[in-house]
Amino acid sequence: MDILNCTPLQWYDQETHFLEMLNDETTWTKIPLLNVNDLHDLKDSRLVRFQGMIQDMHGPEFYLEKFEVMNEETKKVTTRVGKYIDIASCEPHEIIDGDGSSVVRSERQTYVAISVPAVNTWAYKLEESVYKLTNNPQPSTSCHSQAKRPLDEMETDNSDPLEQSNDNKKQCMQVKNNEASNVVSQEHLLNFPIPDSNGKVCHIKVYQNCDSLKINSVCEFVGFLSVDPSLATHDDDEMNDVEFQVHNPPPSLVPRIHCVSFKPLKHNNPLINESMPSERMPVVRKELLILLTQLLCGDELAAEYFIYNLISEVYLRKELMALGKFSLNISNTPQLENLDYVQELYKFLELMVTKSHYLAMSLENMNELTFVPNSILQLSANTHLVVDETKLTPGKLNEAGVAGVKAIASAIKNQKTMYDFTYYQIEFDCDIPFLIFSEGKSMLPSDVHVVLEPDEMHLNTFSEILQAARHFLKPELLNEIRVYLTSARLLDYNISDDIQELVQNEFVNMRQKGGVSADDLHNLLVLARLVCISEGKHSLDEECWKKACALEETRKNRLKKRP
Amino acid sequence: MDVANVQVGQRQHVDEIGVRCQKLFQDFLEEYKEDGETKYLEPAKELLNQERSTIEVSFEDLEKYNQNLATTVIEEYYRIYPFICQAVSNFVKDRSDLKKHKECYVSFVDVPTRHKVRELKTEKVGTLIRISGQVIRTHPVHPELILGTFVCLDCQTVIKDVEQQFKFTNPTICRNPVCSNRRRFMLDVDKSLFIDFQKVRIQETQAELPRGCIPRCVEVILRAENVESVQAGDRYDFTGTLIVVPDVGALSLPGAQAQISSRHKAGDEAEGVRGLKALGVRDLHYRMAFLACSVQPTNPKFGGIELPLNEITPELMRQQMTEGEWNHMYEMSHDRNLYVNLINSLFPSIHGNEEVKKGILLMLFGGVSKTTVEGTALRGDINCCIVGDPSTAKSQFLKQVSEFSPRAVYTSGKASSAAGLTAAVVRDEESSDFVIEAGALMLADNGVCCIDEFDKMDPRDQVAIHEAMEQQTISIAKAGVRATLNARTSILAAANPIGGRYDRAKSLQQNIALSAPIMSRFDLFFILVDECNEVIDYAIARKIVDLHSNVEESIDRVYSKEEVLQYISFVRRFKPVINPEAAELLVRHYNHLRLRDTATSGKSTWRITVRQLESMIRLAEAMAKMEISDEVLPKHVKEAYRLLNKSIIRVEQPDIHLDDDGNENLIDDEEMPAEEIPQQAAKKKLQLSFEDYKILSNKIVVHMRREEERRDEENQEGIKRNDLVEWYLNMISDDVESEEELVEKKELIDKVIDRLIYHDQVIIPLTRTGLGRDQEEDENPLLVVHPNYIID
Repeated sequence: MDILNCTPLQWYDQETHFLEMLNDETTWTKIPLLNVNDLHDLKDSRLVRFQGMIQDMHGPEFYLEKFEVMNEETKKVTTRVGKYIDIASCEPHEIIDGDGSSVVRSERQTYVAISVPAVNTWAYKLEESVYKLTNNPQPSTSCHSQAKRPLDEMETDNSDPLEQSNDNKKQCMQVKNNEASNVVSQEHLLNFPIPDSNGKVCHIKVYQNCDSLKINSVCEFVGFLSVDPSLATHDDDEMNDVEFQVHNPPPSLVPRIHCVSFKPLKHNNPLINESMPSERMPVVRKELLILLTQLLCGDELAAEYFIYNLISEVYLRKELMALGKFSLNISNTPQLENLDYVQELYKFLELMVTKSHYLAMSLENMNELTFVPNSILQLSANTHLVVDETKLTPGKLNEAGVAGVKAIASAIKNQKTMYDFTYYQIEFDCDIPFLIFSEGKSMLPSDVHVVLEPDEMHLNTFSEILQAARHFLKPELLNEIRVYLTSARLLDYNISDDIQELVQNEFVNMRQKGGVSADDLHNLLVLARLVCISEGKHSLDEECWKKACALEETRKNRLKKRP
Repeated sequence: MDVANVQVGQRQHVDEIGVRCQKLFQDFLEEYKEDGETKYLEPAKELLNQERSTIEVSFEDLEKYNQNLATTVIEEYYRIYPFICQAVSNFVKDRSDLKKHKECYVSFVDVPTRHKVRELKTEKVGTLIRISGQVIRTHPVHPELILGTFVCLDCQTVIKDVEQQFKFTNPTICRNPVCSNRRRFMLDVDKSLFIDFQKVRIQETQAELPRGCIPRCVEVILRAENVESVQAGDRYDFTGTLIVVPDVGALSLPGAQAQISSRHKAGDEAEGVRGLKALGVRDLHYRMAFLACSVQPTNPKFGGIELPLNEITPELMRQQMTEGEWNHMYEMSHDRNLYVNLINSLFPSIHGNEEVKKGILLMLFGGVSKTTVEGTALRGDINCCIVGDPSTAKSQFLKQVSEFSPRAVYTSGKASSAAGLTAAVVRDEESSDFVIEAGALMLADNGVCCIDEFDKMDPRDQVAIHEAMEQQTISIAKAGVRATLNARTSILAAANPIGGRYDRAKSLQQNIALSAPIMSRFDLFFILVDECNEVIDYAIARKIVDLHSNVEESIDRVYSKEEVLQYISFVRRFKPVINPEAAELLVRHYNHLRLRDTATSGKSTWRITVRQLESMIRLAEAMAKMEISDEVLPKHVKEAYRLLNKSIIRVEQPDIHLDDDGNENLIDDEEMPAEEIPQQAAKKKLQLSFEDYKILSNKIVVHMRREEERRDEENQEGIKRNDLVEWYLNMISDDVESEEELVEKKELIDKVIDRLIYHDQVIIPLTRTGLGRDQEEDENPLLVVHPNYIID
């Protein structure tokens, strides 16, 4: 049976059969991807695919998995299925009986998923080129001829007396942008941590295996699209109007997806079909190192650390520690006359990684952007956040700004972001590799601090270097770097027993010499892992360990030079 | 009531179970006696008052009276609730001269099982349950229409008592047989019955939240007397039932929209009739709400007396546990290595520091809080302070505790003010009243408050928590608000020594910037020194490497965190009593400490006061709790004494190295767990703190002088070395538990004597010179105390 034209009812009848079909990768990818298509190009109550980050969780919803319908004229009772749909359609002369003997009540969870924030343009464009539908199927809005009516009603509803707004103000302090009007603004409903014109928000209704869905995790969902306009109708004199609207936004803006299956996404790199052969990785690494060394004004050490930052991730959480975090602070960033050094650098970074965001840490930004709660820190795992501290000018941080700095600092230190739930705060795990550019030592903490040693000649000819670098970065190489960065991160890694022994002995020796703490060993092990996987190796060997030690030593010596 | 009218209502058939329950419940109200009196007669009479309408019924009473009825109430609560209320109304009517019919309601309390917000699932719909949560929003009180009186607009017939079910419900059809009006009715407000109605929203509490999930919220509907009984921010137990509220109005009544005005709104969900839906499309999901019949604070409001939790006896706990869980608890309590196993299960990633772990474990168990005859409360919570060098896993201890302990607050002293720790009076944004904002100590009530960087706190702020630490209350008098609030919390603090590193040449007090009053309020002090030692370094390296290579088996955890947690919460209910022997031992140990305190003039860390005796009692109680013993036994006191001793008498003087190799080694190796590094045990160095060494040498000298006198009188030879060793071992035999220890102690006393002889030259070995000298005498010489030696 054609899975693309399968209806919720057909699915319900042959669930196992269809799920088996979905196991096939090609069938899975055949399902239209909502992310890159317009809503009106997709069919209502047909399967769609959506890649998104879980942003919020609403309460469970009760629904009628099976219900009875009685025809008032013939008095005939039939049983219908209510799974995977929002709205039961029945004829005007039919009555839905929710209490009949064959009624099955069940519950489902609603999740709010947004398209992965901070995805770089190249990645989006690539997805679009592959999955954008070319032939326009019949638009979904034609499914219901009555569509016009609720819209009319909604308009009249909204023109309700303004006295309501006062009420709202008191009731829902958290929805500040709603004070003036009765309707929650579009931005609020979409609520992207980072403004994104291609961004989409979906309400995902999940029927099983809900426990594995965690906040901020990225998943690919397959489910039945539901954009029935009647979902948008609701009474306006609800006391908690705002809240109701937040939970029931118009489907044209926020479509519902009745999820039949989902799987977590490890990466969102559309170029990766099969991982890069490990022999190839050192070659690409070399090229990348050359490029970055030039961009970092001839500083190879900084370039090495730059690469490690790009492939770092939190690979293990134990007790309270996030192992593998590798936030990098590059200080002594050069100030160029007619070029913004950090932004120029970021342009290259943007081309190489799938998800990144540039945050100029200027006073205005810090004071005005929201960091707590639901902040720009609400990013999916492995989104590179470049913090440009060189933009900071003397001035006063207000309360929000101080909270912002604190939030970033805690994210760097513990890889956790704070969410505010009015009466208590909760921390959620995150995995954001930070890259901080500053003139002196950063005001933010960092795992590794590298003092940049720019070369005079490079500084003077930086604009030419940029040109040359762009020229150097041919599309083939660029694509290879993109694949390299993602596949290096995904490599399996282990430490063999003899290397463990070696590391332990070395640590004891270092301790004897003094000045080394347990934290240093943590850092060394993280660095050794990054050195190892950047070479495409699966297992730590002595060479990588020695290299890590040597790198650390050079770096520390540099730090000592500058008090 | 007019029978004819009832029949026109929607109740077409009679629910027989309901009717039966109504009768049984009325019997219960009439017959249930406590102490020979009908318990519910008085409360029923109170219902005659205009403003009262709800009778509170203890579910336990109902269970005692009729188990079947109680089960039916639990299972079919929503179905029979109207009948039970009817029973109350009839009961009130029968027992009074009330002329008019009065709607009465029942409110159940003491429903045994408590559920989490997350556990509210479909199968719970309609059953009587108790949930707890934190109120996050209260809505204004509205009148809710429960019984409507309608007038038919076609024939003017009056239709009475139309039951309203969460939505504005018109009569289905006019009861006038000749009139076929189905939709044109008008509500007669004056003749309809309204009830107070309030919607509040509760949120899952932090402790119940699974990792990585957003807290769940539920709407709770409060009616009649329950309205306005909750305050946002507080935690309450709600008893009632989960209901699903149909999201749509009556499908069969198109056009009814015109009549729904906000004034007559049928309460909660008047989501109703909408144009499109009326045409035959329907939402298929339902919203859920919790219809509460009684509200009780989980956490008593400010100044309350006891937590409902504390009233739970072990027996009650047992009832709530499954057979498996109970057996598991039983097994755990009989684990011989329980102490060690619990510690390893709680802190698997922290190496060594067994004493600290033991202290924290006992802190989690806590002592028994008591009230004296005069009414003074004695705290049962144990406060601990960890002092130590940087990067000695101090913060990790704190974080770990705050992570797994159900009610724990982690705060940093640097970032918190006195108000942030205790309580602040702030102006409420909404009502512009002054309200009390709970600080960390209050939030951790009945839990643990972890304060990192305690020394970095402003001294003035430290003073603010004096009261909280001993009296366990917080008093504030600001802006017209005067209150004494509970803060029954254990405090786990971490502090850095002055100058970053612990200076072992100085006393504890000189090492940390804490005032004496604060210090004396801590039961236990632990000192962590960054030890530079091959063995320990190796072990640390092993731990870290294992961690990075994700090896689970580095320490076999005997129990999972959940098990430990369950065990702790189970055991905390017990209240062990000190038995006479233990009491005697406590007195002895206290005397001992006190004497030593005065003996070692001025060198002690702080003066031993009654507080330390209390600490010892608390620790002993905690030990007894851990072993689920009803009595505090001498062995518990012994361990308490050991821990306390460890934390009071810490090295002020550099350690005495009894080995001759000059290798600087600054740790008390004696406490290194021998099983962890057996191959190293032989190598370990014998050393004593200066204090202990002094005490021991004084003891030896006093003993020798006395013996010398005695033996002189009896004309015996002086004391031989072997005699001295034997005397010492006899003296300490009470404290020695194993053979290894005995060997160890023997070695120790030998070294001490050697040192006294060769280093301090306090004792002189008498050796006969000349030919008579033999092997035996060489090894076992006669010893005399140096005649000029004065004991200090």
